[in-house]
Amino acid sequence: MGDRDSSLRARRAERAREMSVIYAVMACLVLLILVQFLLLMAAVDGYLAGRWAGLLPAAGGSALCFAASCALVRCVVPRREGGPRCG
Amino acid sequence: MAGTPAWKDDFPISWADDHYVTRREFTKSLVLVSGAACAANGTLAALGLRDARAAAPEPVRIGTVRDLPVGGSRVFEYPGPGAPCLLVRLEEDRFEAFGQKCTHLGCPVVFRAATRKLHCPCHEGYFSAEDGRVLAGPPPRPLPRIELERRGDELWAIGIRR
Repeated sequence: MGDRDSSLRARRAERAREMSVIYAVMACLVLLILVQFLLLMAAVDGYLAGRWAGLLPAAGGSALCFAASCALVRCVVPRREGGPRCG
Repeated sequence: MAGTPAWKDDFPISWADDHYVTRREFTKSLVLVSGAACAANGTLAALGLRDARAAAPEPVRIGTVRDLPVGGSRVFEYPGPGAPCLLVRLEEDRFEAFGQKCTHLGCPVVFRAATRKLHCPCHEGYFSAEDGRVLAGPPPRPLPRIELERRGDELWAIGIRR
């Protein structure tokens, strides 16, 4: 009986930890997407105004955000054997 | 099982289960949104590079100096058809030209000689006729300025300065 309780508690703790990771990743992704939309707005404004100098840095920043998103999502997709682990 | 309708055996997945989105799936769709934003930014950068490398437009003859009195204005197209511009004569020897599309929503601006301003009647935007900068109203950017060259009595548009 004691073993079963401790096993249940361990599973609950693991589940709570995974949920925390998922929510943290979701919050980070939303922030990254907000940054990307700000960069996109600035890029559209610059393109329409003919100020092309800022377009490449905006695209680079957006690519960095996308790379960070890809890295973050690997923390929450079902892990395969030997896959990356977060948290 | 006796009370179960036959269709439930054929279609065992309920509507609610079929449309249930897990947190992980939602997180993955956020990454797709991030990828779409990245692609849009990259497309804009590519378009900007293409436009920046495009050859300078050919000079276009606008008309002669005598055609335009002081305080007058004239519409011409530069660098090609569908790109209306406005030439204004501020003083005897001073001509300025700007793109005619308001930078707010693209309405055509008109020259007000009395105030020496370019006026967008759609949303009451005002630009300076001296350099095209925004004086009032909702326009977010100055008007693109057309570079002019005087060849004898003729006026030519030779470039665009944004």
